[in-house]
Amino acid sequence: MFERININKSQKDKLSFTFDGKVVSAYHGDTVAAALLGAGYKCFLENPVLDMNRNPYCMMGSCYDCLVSIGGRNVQSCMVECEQGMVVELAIQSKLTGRKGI
Amino acid sequence: MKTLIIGGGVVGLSLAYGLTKLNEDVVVVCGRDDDYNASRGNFGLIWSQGKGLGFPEYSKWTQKSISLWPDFAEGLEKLTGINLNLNLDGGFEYFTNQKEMDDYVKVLKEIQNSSTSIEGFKSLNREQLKLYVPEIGPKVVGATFMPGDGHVNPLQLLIALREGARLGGAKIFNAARVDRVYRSENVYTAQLDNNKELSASRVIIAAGLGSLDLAPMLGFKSTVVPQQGQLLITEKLPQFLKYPSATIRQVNEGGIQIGGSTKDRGFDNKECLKTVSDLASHAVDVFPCLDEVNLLRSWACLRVMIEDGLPIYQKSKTNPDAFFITCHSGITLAAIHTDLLTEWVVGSKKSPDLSMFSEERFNV
Repeated sequence: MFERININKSQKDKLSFTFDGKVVSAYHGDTVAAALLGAGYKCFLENPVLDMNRNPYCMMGSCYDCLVSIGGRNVQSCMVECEQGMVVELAIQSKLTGRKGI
Repeated sequence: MKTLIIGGGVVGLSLAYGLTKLNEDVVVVCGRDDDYNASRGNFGLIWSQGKGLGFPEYSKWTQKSISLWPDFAEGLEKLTGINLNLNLDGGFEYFTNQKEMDDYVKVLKEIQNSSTSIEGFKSLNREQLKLYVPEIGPKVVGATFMPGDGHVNPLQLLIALREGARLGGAKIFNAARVDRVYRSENVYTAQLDNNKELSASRVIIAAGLGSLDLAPMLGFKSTVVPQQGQLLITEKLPQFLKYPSATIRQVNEGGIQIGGSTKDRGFDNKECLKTVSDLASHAVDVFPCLDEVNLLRSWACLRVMIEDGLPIYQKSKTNPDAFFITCHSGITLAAIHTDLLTEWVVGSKKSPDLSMFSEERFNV
């Protein structure tokens, strides 16, 4: 499980957003992928072809195994910074298959 | 007889794999990662549709290769354990312009009439097409369909051919460029840029665009030219596209691959935004459901083009057992290259007459 190494963040750096309808807390400067991993989500993408779940692999925008849906589009969650009140959903393809990817 | 193959792409490795199946001694020199490597950037079609206008022998050769593909793939998959993801359920060519479609249908008819071995194509209007491909968009006026055409994972094919050749005993040298190839008595020697030398009594130049420098060293006269093609791949989607087209196919990993641009830009292998955008809009015209889909990557690669589009299969007249072998359609022809072309190289009883693919056709 992931643990935060930067312990100097204060309460005022805290924010929250929702992922798949559940509240997730994070700090300003976190990427969505980092926040989700930090909150204990292990996998949040279902590969639409293979019958398996995926989790962030590269954390630098290249592997596309951390996709989520924000504002109706699939995006790499490792490339998006968290914002207060942001609504993050499962990647659209996960919804198409009717299964949850967590 | 030991054979030295210069070129470790799909063409060179198809021959290497074929030769090892005939228990021939084979050495392959592969180029570097920063060479043009058409085998690493291509679209993966196994395609006869539209090929061979005015050259019925080429249509037949292509069709024959496609008929050999299932057994070829099965043998290679069994040997290497690598899944090629072969699909030969047929291929479409989509049209958004009726005149273009009518002209293309004329071309296909002419090819079909001149080559009796060709399986019949179908021409489908919009309503007929929707029965097969319900996802088409309102701009699509129709499509032509060629049964038996299809696609394969071209990178898996490359890896499998390499592994197949290696398991058959071929020695493969990586990341080496051949500076010079020459004959002394009956031995051919390739000087590599790492100061190594490789020798054999038979040599095949199958180096794609690298042949431009190498083929003349053994007296070959014909030439190849680069033609740039750009390709896009989208994020992974649930499998929905059953059939490939010449410009849009869904790869086995789920991404939609979009391609088909042709530009004469010399050796420029960089993609440009304009072409990427044109390719993407065409794909969205054909399949509007792609509009919201993310692109993952784009790249450009250089096709190995020959003036008339046909392969060059040339046995040297002055240097015994020296061959120049190159073509644009190395994936489609991989099956026949491991089979009949290999028989032609060793001069066996099964050797086909390939004189129409010699370089004499260019009046060189």
